[in-house]
Amino acid sequence: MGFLNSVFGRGGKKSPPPSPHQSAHVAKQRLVEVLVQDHVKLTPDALAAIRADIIRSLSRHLDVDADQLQINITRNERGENLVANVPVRRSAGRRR
Amino acid sequence: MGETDQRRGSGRVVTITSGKGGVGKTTTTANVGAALADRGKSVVLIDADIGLRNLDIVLGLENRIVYDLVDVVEGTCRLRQAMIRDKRLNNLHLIPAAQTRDKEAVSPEQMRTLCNDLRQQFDFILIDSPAGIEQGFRNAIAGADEVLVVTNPEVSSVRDADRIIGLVEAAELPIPRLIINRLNPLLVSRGDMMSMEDVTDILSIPLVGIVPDDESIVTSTNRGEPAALNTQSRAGQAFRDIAARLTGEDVPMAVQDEPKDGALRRILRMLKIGGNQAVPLRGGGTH
Repeated sequence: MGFLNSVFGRGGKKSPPPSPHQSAHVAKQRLVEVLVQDHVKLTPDALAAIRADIIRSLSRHLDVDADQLQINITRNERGENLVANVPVRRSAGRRR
Repeated sequence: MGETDQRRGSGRVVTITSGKGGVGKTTTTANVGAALADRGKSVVLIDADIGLRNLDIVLGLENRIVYDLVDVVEGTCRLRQAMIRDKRLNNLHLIPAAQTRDKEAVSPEQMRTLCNDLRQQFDFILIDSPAGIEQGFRNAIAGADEVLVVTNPEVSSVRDADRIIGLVEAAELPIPRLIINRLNPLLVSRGDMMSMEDVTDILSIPLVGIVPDDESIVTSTNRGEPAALNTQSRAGQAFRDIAARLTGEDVPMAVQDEPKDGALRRILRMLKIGGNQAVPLRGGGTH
């Protein structure tokens, strides 16, 4: 197994995170988007509207990174879940 | 075990399907079947791709066909007469597809009856589904106890796999298990192919095997000899691992989806060719 381990790098160094330009990353993003449409029958326009609404609503309370917002549809036994991942730059601070 | 269902023997009916054509359903059926038989299980393979018979030639049994699946369901021959015994493994059998008929020649009800008969006689009944989501697919899952979905790590086959998973669940079968076929670790390490994790993230079903892209599949198929019987074949090993998992063994996934330092670079280094610039590598495709 030594050969296989050395070839496949078990226990090797951790890889850097993927660049958004790598084609595998692009493939995954495109698939996630198309499957949203396949599952929930959401048009790209409707999805864009949801996205804008989420950003607008969260921006009232938090400094969110709108460019990094990710919307995913995941599946479990109970059906589809819409999961929005919204990076927060920092808290906008308590209102005075 | 106490059988409450009179129709059932102890055999398991496992359908191999994919939605998209050309992802390796027939290769998977032939190799997992051969590996199960090699482990001592009694196995029958059914080629449900009526009109496009292929499992026979992949197994090297194309010259032995007298009767086929349609003959069996129409009663033209007895079940035993249509079963071709493999030349290498005497507990491996094939019921070939009819070549000159179409999918409507068999009904889902006939497939259920056939599967019930075969459960009495075999440990495993593997059904090679045709591509598509129409009647051929419906026939292939009609008598199934479980379904394996084969996909490649590329957008169209993953999308079709997703569609098939939905149809299998709608048919009230257990959640299918996934086989990722033709994974190229080098492309994954370069970020140019979706990794095991990328695909399982998207499809959200349990993984039962990862099969590396391997030219030994081409040569073994050329010869009509399943790669699973060749201990030198990496893909063959992956199919043997899948067979072991189907029998309940806990086998770790052998092909790492994410070569931490790049498979090719390591091989080149071992062979003392090429420096670090030979293959520009970035991270794997997971996050």
